[in-house]
Amino acid sequence: MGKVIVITSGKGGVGKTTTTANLGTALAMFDKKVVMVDTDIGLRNLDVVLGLENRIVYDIVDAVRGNCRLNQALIKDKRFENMFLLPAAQTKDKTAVTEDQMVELCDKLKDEFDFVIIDCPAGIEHGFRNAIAGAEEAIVVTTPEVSAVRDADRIIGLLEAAEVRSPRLIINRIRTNMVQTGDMMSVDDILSILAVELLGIVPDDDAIIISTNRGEPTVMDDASLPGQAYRNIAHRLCGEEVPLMTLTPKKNSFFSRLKSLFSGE
Amino acid sequence: MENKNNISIKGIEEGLLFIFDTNNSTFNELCNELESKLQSSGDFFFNADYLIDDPSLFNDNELSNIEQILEMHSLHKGQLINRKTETEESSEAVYHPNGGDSVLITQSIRSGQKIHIYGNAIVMGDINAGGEIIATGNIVVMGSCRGLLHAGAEGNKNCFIIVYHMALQQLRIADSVATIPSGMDSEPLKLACIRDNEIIITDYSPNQFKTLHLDN
Repeated sequence: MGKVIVITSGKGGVGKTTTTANLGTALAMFDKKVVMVDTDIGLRNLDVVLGLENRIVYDIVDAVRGNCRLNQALIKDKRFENMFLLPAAQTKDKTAVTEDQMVELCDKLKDEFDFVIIDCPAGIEHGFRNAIAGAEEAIVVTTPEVSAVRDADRIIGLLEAAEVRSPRLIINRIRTNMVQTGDMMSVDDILSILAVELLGIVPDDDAIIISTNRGEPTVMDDASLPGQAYRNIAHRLCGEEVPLMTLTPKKNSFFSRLKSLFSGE
Repeated sequence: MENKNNISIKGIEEGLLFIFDTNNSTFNELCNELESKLQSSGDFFFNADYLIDDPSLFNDNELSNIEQILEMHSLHKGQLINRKTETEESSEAVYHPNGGDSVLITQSIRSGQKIHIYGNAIVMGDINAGGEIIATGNIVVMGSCRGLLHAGAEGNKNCFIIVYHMALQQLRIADSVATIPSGMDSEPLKLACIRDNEIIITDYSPNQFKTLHLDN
């Protein structure tokens, strides 16, 4: 029996889909059998981030309505044979699937897979209710911005009300330099507001944009700092204890690098 | 109007559910009762969403009469969402204290959650931005308050608010509203009450509290 985990945030653009793609890929790298379910019907993205958009024949709506067998709608990844994607439909809307159908779908998938990772749409409406309907655990993604943290707070309240077990938090896109100068909320600031368990922190990195555009999750790149962060989180999802990443501010400007070169630092 | 309990009000996720008992009273009596209930509650239901249970008890004419009364008192018609799980906790709860006049809340109030209390409210937790507590009596918060507090919601100007850590932007007592400048000193334990028709916020100390003569 596998675990059904929903990745949600309330606010859009904080990195739900990126997190789903990277955690799914990381778990597949650890030899787990993984399926990622895109529930953002009408605005599907997960297929692009995973680089699988040209393989879609059937989608989640076909699968729940019986237009095809579930296995026909599952797309096998080109890199890992134990990683699958159930894509969202692009031409329908969120009401094309009901909460009962989602519960049934998740029950079927968790018999077959170790991890069922559900990518939730932004918002708190029908799409959100569908996404959490079959989930047993939740990961809330937020960024260090007051608006994202407030939406995360709302989402945690809704998850608790829907009795999805104690949600865990990923803080995405941390910029250490800005935290140090006091221009960005720190991890502790966010935790004191949200009061939930911290699953991991992910530093902001331009590499994410490049890997997203290429359809190659950054977690596959050994040298990538956010990739390392996602691998750590995936280890924690497998029940291992991995210490939190220590983020040191990088000297990012050309001049500071030049200066350190001359001063011999 | 001796029989005054044909309307009960319940907090559900979508707003306030008005439940009408049509067995013991005529439609006119119900309207009068609703009117007096809303009048006596002052701002308590201000801007809340309402739902009627069950609309099929009334004909179209009667229904629009009821809706008119509710909307006159600044309530808005709510939308009933089809819910699958019965266990869902409502995000807008109404508490009637049993056997006392205070309600103890031992959880944090998150964004989007709204709690109405008939009586005093004691909160052992935080109130996050976007969360609301509306009480007819006093409010004491043993935690950080970043949301909205409204004490004396039915118009009692003698009500007070005590907050362990005041980080909110606005608080209300009776029909007064105070906006709090960001960066107010963060010393713990603040008391807010009405003096000369204005809300004042001071450091709380038990002795000073006595001199304020806040008796309800």
